[in-house]
Amino acid sequence: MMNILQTEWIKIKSTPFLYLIFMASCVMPFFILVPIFVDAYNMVDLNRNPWSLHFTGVFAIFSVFVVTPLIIMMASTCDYVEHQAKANKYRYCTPVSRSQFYFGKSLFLVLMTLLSFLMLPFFAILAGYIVNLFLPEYEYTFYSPELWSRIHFLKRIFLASLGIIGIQYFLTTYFKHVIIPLGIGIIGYIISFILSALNSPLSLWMPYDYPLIVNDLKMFKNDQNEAMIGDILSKVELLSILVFIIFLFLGWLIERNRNIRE
Amino acid sequence: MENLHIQVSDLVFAYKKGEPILKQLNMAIPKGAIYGFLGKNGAGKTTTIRNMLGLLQPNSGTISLLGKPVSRHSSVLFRKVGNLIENPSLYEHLSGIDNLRLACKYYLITERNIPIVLDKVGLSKAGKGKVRKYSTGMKQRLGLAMALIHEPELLILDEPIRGLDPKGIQEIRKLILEINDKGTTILLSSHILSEIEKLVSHVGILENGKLQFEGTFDNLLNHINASTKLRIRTSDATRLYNYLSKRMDVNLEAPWVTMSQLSDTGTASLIRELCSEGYEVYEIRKDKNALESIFLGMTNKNTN
Repeated sequence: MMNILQTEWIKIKSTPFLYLIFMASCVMPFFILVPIFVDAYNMVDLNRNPWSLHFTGVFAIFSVFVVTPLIIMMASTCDYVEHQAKANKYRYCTPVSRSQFYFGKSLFLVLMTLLSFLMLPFFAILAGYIVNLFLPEYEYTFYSPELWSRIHFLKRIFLASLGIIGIQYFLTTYFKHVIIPLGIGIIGYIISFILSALNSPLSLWMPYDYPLIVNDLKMFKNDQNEAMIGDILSKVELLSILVFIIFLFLGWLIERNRNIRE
Repeated sequence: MENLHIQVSDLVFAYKKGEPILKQLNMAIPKGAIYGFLGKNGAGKTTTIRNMLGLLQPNSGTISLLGKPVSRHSSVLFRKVGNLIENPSLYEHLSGIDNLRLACKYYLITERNIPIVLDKVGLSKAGKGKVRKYSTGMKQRLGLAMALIHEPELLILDEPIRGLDPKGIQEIRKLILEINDKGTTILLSSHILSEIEKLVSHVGILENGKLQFEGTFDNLLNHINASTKLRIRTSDATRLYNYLSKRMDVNLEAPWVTMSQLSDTGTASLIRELCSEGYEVYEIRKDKNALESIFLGMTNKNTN
């Protein structure tokens, strides 16, 4: 499996795939600088840890506007590179089995998504220190970023995103095309926004909505409903993992029996 | 069985139900052969090769490579098989070397073969360049390098000379012969006879989903000789036809009279006889485009 991961890494060199990951996790945290600079004095609260507001902003943007589109685009393009190179007629006649190729690529997709999640807090901290250079009254250096609790929250968003990875990877395997999975993904993303805005119970049936659910609950979390929220979060994460496994398996059934005509 | 590196038995394959492309196809390719797999465009050569490599699932029949049955899950078998099917599978945003590195990872071999195969296919200098900047011929050479990287025992090449210039064709022919000299069995498909005529030891001609001819190249040449025609053009084709048809099988294709090929002495005595009978013999010739005509004859006989 290690050799498959290595081949995937070679293949994404100089593709949009790599730029997407870096755009998502390295550049995006710096977008938070814009409102801070524009509205600096209204946002200063000397009695509050500035990292709290900072991370809430970064994570809100990331989980609402970045995670789902990032996964949709990564999953849609990761298999397209094979389609474009007509690579299956060569790959499938090598000692590597179809299953190894299929699961290797899905693992790579999960790992790349995880990488973007792991890079995010570090670049968010960097963005905080840059703010502090220009606006020391925020006192970023005085307070601790409390990184561990942030990473714990990111872990929940990551688990909630697995379902989307499963669905999008299935779609790209099934259609062997970049536009259709991309289109379905975008429609799913829009519907998830609507369901979220309506606070609809149908959200639990919409895996594209899971990162939004996790983010909303985090934002409105307080002591009274923490137990209930914890329960829902677990449910969402569990459902997401289940959706991931089901769609991964369905995609594998298709791929292992596919006739390669391209 | 051990001496056959490819064996296809009663292979049936259809893309659409009820419209089979391959109909009870049988092939036997001995170890060490260079097998020329001939057929017109659309005859089913690539479909046959895709079935051989487990890319397509046959409706019925069996295929074995190197003595082992092929299926979609015969990945271990492919350690010893190299292939190039139609346009090579290349990641154009990567360099030639990177494409070969991927092949090394797939075949679980070290990368030390990369400069060797690049040199073999004449791409040593271009290896670091992006594939998207390669010409069609260069891409074809790189595809060949990817098929050779793991030193296969069996090499399956579908139209390998496509897109190459005459010099490139010469080089690839030489390379194929060198590879074969080391004991590699090679299946070489083409729809252009002259491409493979000088290379092959065995020939199979596919038409309408079946092999119309299979055998050594010598067998094919004998077959051709047996069917080579003698053509005679005289002052009066009809009179000559009437004269000869009493004692041999002749055809009138005015201004020609055609017959089966005669021995050299038989031809000489016929010319003497015709002159003594008062015929003015303008021209007498053997059809030398025989390989092509037998090929066309074989591939067209079911449709005529």
